[in-house]
Amino acid sequence: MDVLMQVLVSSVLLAGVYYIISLGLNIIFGVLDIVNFAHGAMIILGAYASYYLSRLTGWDPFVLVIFDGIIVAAIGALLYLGYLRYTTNSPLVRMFALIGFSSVVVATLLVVSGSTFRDVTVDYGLTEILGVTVRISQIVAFVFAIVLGAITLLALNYTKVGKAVNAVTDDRVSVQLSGINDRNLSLLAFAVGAGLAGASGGIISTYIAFIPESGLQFAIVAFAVVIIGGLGDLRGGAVAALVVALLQTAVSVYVSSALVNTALFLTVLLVLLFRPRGILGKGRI
Amino acid sequence: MNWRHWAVIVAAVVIAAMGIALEGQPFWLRVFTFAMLMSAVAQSWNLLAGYTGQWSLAQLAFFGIAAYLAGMIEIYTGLPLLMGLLPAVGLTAIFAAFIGFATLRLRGHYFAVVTFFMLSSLYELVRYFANYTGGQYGMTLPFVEGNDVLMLQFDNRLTYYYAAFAVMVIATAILWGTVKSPLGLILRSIRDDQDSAAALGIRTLGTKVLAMTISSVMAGIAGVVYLGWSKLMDAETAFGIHNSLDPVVGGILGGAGQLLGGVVGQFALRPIVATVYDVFGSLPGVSSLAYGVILMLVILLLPKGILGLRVAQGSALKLSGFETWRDRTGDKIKVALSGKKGA
Repeated sequence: MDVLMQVLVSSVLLAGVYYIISLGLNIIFGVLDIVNFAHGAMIILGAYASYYLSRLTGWDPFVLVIFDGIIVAAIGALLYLGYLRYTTNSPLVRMFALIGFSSVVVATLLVVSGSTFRDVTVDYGLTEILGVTVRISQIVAFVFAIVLGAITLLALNYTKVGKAVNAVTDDRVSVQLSGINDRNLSLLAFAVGAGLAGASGGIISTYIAFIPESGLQFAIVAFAVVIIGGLGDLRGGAVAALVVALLQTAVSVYVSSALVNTALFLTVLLVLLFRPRGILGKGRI
Repeated sequence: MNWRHWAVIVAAVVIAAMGIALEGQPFWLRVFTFAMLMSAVAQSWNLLAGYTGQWSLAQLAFFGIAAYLAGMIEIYTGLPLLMGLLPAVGLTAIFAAFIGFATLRLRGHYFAVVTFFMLSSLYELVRYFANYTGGQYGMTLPFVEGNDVLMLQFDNRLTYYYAAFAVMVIATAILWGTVKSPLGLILRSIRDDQDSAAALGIRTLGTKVLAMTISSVMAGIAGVVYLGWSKLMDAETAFGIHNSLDPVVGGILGGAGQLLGGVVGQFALRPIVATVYDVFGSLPGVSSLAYGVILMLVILLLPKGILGLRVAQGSALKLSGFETWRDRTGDKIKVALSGKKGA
């Protein structure tokens, strides 16, 4: 019973962070029709931004999350303006260009920082939730993720630009016909998606140590959440984040931590085959 | 026979002769042996992605699975590698058919992402079942002295060069035979417009599964010969995301959907990667930096690959990214000059 409670509590805390990891991916996927294979690289860029900024300034890592987001958003905007928009129109080919970018980022980080584990973990002490001991920093990370996610959702649903982003995800052609510049929107979505990835990297860096290649595992998680939740369905994404977190924690506790990705692969495959619109059935195909 | 056929024959003769010329240079002999083995995998990717439109990220997995199976067959049953090739590649093909049946219902992005998940899962499984696969240290075959064709054991490294040459020719022949047959036409119709193909009565799923099965055979043969050559196979070589990009980069660089795309791509890519590795080998990550930069540049400038370059009469080579840039900037200048707003 204790173990079960442990699994449940840490899954919920993890799910908050997983949701924010997947949000940027979902927005880019929806607006640009590209699977951002550089998502993991952007997350890890955020984590390294936190690492170097905290060495430079000594500020609390949670304050740095905002700066991580801005830095990675700027990098994303530059990537889009200077490279991505000149590439061929085929979304599949562009996807491979992002894999290339991802290799470049990981390799650069390896050259700059080496493959030693870095961390900016903070020690706020411990507390108890429902009889389970957790680190306070994990709760702060959870709250941070929820707040960031809520701001993004509000911006998407209640601002003009946000509504346009939602509209492009639903029906690109109608949006173009009604006179909205979808190229500017693509730039915005790419920058915001990258910024969210960077911010989530900053949040992650507060409770685990990382190396340049760590981004891959977070990218896998983000893909799983977006697919299980349904493309463009941000509510489904919240449920999916919980599902993925529960699955990961349960498999590593009850089966083996060395089989987590296999469980994700099978789950994603089953969801795509039987609920292609996502767990709530409201996503786009 | 037109000039293209002659060019291919001349190129094949040159590559065959190159082996003898390279005998004194083990580094380059190794580079080009590997290039030809990877050509076979790139050609198999070409069949599935270039001709059928299913952009897999996990083509190298079939190479790895066949190698692991052949190695385990030799270790546990004593059946030598070359005799184990048939059951190993056969089992790989069956695996490909099963996995294709489950994944090829998905389209475009989703298929690519699921192959990515499959890769990470296979990587884990190989390490989890370390008792059978050697886990993180990899699977090694016992080294024996002398020559033994059945065990793919040769003292002279040049023999491996010609074995790899044969693998490349076999893979290209399979690709050629498939593409020129009626099946090839069906594959291209699925690539160009799957719904129309289905409306014409083509069984799209079954055809795609067939394409994946054929492609797994091409990659599988290369995997077994690679194992004979290196006597070592590990999870990173077979299922690592970085290595899995190799056939894809080669295929795009040479030209996806071009009969010799994978071969040309690998022969262009390998020497570059090897030189970078030779010069900066001590620095971690530099070879993956080279991959990334090459991939980004190729997609920007040559999205149709080297063989897709059109040399129109009187015009220079067409570089796609540059043209887009020139067209857009040109438009902006025209708008600015004419003093009108909006274009």
